[in-house]
Amino acid sequence: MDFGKALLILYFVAANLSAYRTFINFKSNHDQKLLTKIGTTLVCYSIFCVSIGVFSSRLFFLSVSCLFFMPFFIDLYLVRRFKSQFAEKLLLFLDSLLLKMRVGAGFRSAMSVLLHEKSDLFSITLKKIMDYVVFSQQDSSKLPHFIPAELVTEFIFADKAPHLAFSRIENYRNRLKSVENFRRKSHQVTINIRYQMLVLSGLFVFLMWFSIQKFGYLANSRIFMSSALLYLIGIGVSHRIYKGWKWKI
Amino acid sequence: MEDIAPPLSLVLHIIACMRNGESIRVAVERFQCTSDLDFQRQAQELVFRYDQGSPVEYIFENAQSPYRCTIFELIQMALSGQPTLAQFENLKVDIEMACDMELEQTLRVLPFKLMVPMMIFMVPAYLLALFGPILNLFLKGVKF
Repeated sequence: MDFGKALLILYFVAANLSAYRTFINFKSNHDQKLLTKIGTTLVCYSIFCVSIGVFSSRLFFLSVSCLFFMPFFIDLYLVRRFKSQFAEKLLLFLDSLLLKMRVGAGFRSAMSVLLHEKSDLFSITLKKIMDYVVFSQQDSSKLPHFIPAELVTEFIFADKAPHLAFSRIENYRNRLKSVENFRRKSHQVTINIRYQMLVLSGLFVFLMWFSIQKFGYLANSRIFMSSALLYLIGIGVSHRIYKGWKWKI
Repeated sequence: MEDIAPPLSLVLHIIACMRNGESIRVAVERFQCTSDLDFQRQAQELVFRYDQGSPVEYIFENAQSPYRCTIFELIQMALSGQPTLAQFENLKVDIEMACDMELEQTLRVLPFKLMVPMMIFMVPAYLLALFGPILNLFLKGVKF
């Protein structure tokens, strides 16, 4: 085995160790089911890297380098997805909370029953909110920034005035439901266009790759550059059209 | 686009506050609308001017739509002490219907609007990527 290959193997081991360490740090952020999926993805990717390494050491180096950053991107993606799903999960949680309160449980006891021994990110976030509500001298900046201030206000009120807690939370839930309902409807307008753009962009990349393979890049560099520029302008204008829309009512 | 319509947002906020026993003044002062700051400012200015005893008619005139104007009128009625919760609830239904109609209309028009950048920029980009190199080869062949 020559020195270069030994170095590449060492690099591969280091990348895997780095990915593993970052993955361990995720434990506090994501639930167990998701961790298993992330772990499986990383193992599959490592196998993919090794299979690429059989054919080309350069591609092997590039794909192994991605391993260093992959966990960060997965984490970013998952946190972003969690934030976008927070309102939806909150609605379901408020429904369960109201049902518990309807049976006769108080606000605090209903919360503690619902959050008992749960370790997913949503429950952890709600536990943080409850800690803030119960020990209100705590610093509010410790709460994640995507938590609506209104939710914290409603919980504080419900905690301080138990006789009004049910109606207060019910009102908040009803409003949240109406808002989410409309947000979902208006999201429908753009989702089709986004998918359409995604498919068109994939097709364009494939077409460029095909043309470059067939005719060579250097001989036609200006043509390819102008084509890419035109396409990017098109994407930008389309994005502006569907994002720049404002309510008229 | 993906945000809720500002008038609907304000009406929902006012209804929730009123049901919680809060006054219209507190509800409007606490209202926040990041997608349309002008509307938020107009609503809050209405309350401020009403409290000052200044004329508020120009706010109604500057309202972007009849729905916004009606909301401002109802806020003024609520500020003068009249019961308005039922009216706000009826208005909420009307605004929801109007929002549904506007969304439907947008869904109908948007594909045609998007056709313009597609025909002007994206289709030529495809043609250029596919036939540009062929044309280049052909022109080079003609030269020799």
